[in-house]
Amino acid sequence: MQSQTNSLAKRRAASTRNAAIIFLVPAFLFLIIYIAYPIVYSFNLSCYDWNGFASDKVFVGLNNWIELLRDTVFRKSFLNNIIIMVLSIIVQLPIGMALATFLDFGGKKFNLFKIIWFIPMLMSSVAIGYLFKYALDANSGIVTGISKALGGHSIDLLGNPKTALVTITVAICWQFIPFYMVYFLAAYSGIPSDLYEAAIIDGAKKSQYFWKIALPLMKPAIKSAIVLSMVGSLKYFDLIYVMTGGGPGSASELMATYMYKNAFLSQRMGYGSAIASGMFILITIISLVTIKALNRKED
Amino acid sequence: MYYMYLATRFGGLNAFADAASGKGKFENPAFEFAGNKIQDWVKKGYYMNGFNGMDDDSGQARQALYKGDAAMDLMGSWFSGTVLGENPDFMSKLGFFPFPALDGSKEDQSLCAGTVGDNLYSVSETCKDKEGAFKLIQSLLDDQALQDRKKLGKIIPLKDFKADDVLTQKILDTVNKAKGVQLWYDQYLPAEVAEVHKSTCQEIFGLTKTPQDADKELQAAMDAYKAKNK
Repeated sequence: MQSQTNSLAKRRAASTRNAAIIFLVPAFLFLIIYIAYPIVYSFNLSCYDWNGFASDKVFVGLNNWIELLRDTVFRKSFLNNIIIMVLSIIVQLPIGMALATFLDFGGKKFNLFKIIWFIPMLMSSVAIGYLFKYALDANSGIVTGISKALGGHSIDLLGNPKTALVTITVAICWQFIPFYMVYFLAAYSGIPSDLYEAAIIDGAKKSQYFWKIALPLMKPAIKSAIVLSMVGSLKYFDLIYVMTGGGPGSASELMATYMYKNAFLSQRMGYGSAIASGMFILITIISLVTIKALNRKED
Repeated sequence: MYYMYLATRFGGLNAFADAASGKGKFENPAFEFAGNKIQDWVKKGYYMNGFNGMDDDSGQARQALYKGDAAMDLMGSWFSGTVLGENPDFMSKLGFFPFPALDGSKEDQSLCAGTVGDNLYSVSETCKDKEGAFKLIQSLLDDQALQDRKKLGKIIPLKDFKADDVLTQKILDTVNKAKGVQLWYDQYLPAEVAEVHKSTCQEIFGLTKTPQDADKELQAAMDAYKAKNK
């Protein structure tokens, strides 16, 4: 009898294991084909000089990597990525949090705001890019229109190397604030309503509830939002590509746009792969360091 | 295009051909002249505000023209076709003149920039039905196709071709009179050098690089390309 239950338990475990394998195989295959293999292949390609379609690839060893280390445009685009990252975190997250708080305190009355504020998230990046491009046009855009109405002259934000990057960052924030709004709204709904009621009965003001109870409880959500925003900014591509193409010159060049230009426009697939691999290394290091730093604070 | 035209007016076709072939360099008076002239014009405010951030695909430059904010746009013969499709009413206001001649230059001032004949067809060596492919290409060039293209304002490569509108005819006459045509730099140059050219050009217009530095950078890119592809 004993041995029979044992073997039944064993069989059950074996069948669970088989089921797990069957369910995991498709996802695993996709990960290998679309994530693992391209990364390995990029590193491999980064050691070649190749235009992307010729049949002969010339092995150049670490030449592309040496060039990458010396490349001032790459350094500049990395710095631009860092600027976008910092601005994104300090602008998007607090505003997203403020909107979420407003919606959470307001309840159902504010559902209309929820819908309106979420709209930017539903638009495609390319549409947003063109929208802002026209809106910021130096001759017929909104900013110039307002400036002219107030007696000023036309304002060129995207064609000016000093303002191009910051201007695009504003558009990026406009696009992603709704995402963090919804994200934090979800985090709010994870806080049991008893806590709110208990706090109010104990005489806490709404501001006290927010700072002393809600915010600490949402710490994990905020942490992952920081990591999400960081990784997103470091690999950002679409709006920059549509609005300035990295220009003027390399004023708003990002690592991803620079990679695209090298790999597909300059037809230097090898060097483009070196940039992509460099991005992979940089983003991994920065993410790991940040995650570690964020987790350490908790202890 | 300004850079290309100015360099061609100053140094003829050879300035670029030599630099591209390696016989000459991009660091030469023709390109320096082009860069300096552009920066001179930018400083004097000849270009409209924001011109360096416009791209042609989104039609911002054409809008400025339609609205009457801009007086002219340095463009190719396709421009009238685009206007015809986009804003036909504007056609009556549209005129054409070739890039002005440069006083005191010894080079031919009739030279144009662009391409003569845009569509080049080829059939792959491994094509299974080469005859069929050839017939398809022929059908793209039959009388019906040519008439349809003519209606769209295209110049068809036929002897004694007469365009439907005065504007296209004027462009055609200018090209026919030209002693030569300078192919677009970015199409002539190898892709990786062409990208550098486009980038340095934008920096010249943006006054963020001196023409000398821009030419030096372009030459360096050309040298690097040559060194790799001996």
